[in-house]
Amino acid sequence: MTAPSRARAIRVVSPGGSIGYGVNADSLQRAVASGLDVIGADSGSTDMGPYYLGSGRPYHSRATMKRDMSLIIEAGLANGLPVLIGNAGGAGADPHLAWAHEIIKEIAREKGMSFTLALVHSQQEKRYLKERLAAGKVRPMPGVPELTAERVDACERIVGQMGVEPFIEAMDHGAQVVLAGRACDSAIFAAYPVRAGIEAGPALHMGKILECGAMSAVPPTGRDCLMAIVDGDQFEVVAPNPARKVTPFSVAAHMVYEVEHPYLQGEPTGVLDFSDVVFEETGNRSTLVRGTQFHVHQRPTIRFEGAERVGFRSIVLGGIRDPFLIAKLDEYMAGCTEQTLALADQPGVSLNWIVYGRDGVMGEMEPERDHPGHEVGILAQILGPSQEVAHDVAALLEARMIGFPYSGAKTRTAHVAFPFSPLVNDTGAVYRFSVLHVAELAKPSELTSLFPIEYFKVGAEP
Amino acid sequence: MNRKLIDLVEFLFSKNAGPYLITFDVVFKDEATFEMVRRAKVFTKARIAKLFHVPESRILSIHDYPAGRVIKFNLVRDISSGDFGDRSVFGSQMWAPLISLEVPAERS
Repeated sequence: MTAPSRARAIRVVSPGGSIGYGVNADSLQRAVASGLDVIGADSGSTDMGPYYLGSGRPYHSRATMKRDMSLIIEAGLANGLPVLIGNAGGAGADPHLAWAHEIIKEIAREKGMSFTLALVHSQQEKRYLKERLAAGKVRPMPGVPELTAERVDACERIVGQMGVEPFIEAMDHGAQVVLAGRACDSAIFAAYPVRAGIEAGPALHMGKILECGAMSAVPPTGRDCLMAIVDGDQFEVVAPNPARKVTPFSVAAHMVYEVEHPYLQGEPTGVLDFSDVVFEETGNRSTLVRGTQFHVHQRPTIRFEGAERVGFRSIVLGGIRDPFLIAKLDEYMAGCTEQTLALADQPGVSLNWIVYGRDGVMGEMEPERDHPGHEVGILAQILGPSQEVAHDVAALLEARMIGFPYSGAKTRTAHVAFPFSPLVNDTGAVYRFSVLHVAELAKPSELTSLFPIEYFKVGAEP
Repeated sequence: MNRKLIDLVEFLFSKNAGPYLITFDVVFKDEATFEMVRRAKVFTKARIAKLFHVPESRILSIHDYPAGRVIKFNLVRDISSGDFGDRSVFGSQMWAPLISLEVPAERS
């Protein structure tokens, strides 16, 4: 932060919005051929919901993740470029990191590669977050309830979202490939430029744009590469694929994507401020961005995410074409619910209905819910304290659904067209993001120390 | 003559801004249209709350960003993404009520 920026221009590529979706190999080759310093790759988010963090399961197709990681690691090693992968396995906790680590070892074995790999852990001890909570240093993200120690304890696992510091530490120790857990998307791409002396503001801003791949280009897609060249306090956004271009509008419109605020965005060490950013078309399918401000926090923060298991789900799915029943759906669902819960007499069971063709998507927000279609789809879900209980109650519900005597019926039974045998399907555990909170750190060194790094010689002869 | 919002936009969508918020991006065809809608103060908490049948307290914020020709607002979910009873893990497909939102004509 102190020395004026005299760093050379740094060239960064992002292979796409997420590796594991299928990287465009031609675009990656073009980017590599144009000269690069580093390959960054995002591989996850909270977007797919709490199941992955809660269950420890990976989000992506393993085969495609292997193909994509193989492409970028080969390109990196062949050209002496560090490869920085963040949000391993989707949610970035230890089981996800282990899953991606296995894939990397398999790639190295099959391709005869050898390199230094850094594994950066983001899974957190509950104790640390509870200490910060007790010290009054934890605040919820907008729209999230206040945190309690009980909610922390109830989580299956908790991750912290790292900034650039652990990536820099790993590169300082000679890692050629860095596989990191939960990370700020921006940090994956900003780490190398910051290490080379670029200011945090333009480096992180550039990272925010690269993290969705070619979503910032025209035509937009998350499944293609995007490049940036950071030079001093400005950066150029470039589409390696000649079929795309990057315009001031395409960059600016995407900068507001999936965020609450269009021009103030929090990072571990400060707030990015885009209010005075200027965009300039270069005439060469690319756009220059300058004017990013970065307001440094007095004390750094880390965002924590934790998933709590709320129960197990069983579902019954069916269709209704009977117009007399469609007219009496609320009576029918209330009756089925009441009879089922009375018969089941199980504590801790919840029942939920989704009616597609009426208000399935929007629920009570639906302005057209009084005008259902000529046919509706019904998804009935039971949440229970165990899969066995959920299944048992769902079986009772199915038996009510087929024969419940709603008023004005022109039939006596067979009210629902069920597409599946089995009629009840068990879908496993259901989770909730009970932790989505920002903690002020006790000391700045925790930006690194909360994220322990392991080093491996991958593919080396024993 | 009043105009319908859908005829003024380049694109619009809803999407998660984290698991507890759904953010709506309304991107206009050109700068003049963006400025016109902004001046007309079409997006207010009261109006959005009424359109989506939610209390005003669930409309967290409304922002605009001229470089992106975008007006966006944020709805606090009643059920967080992927929790039991959620209807849209990605927060997608919630924007349809905006189609018929009327934008008053400017007096010349």
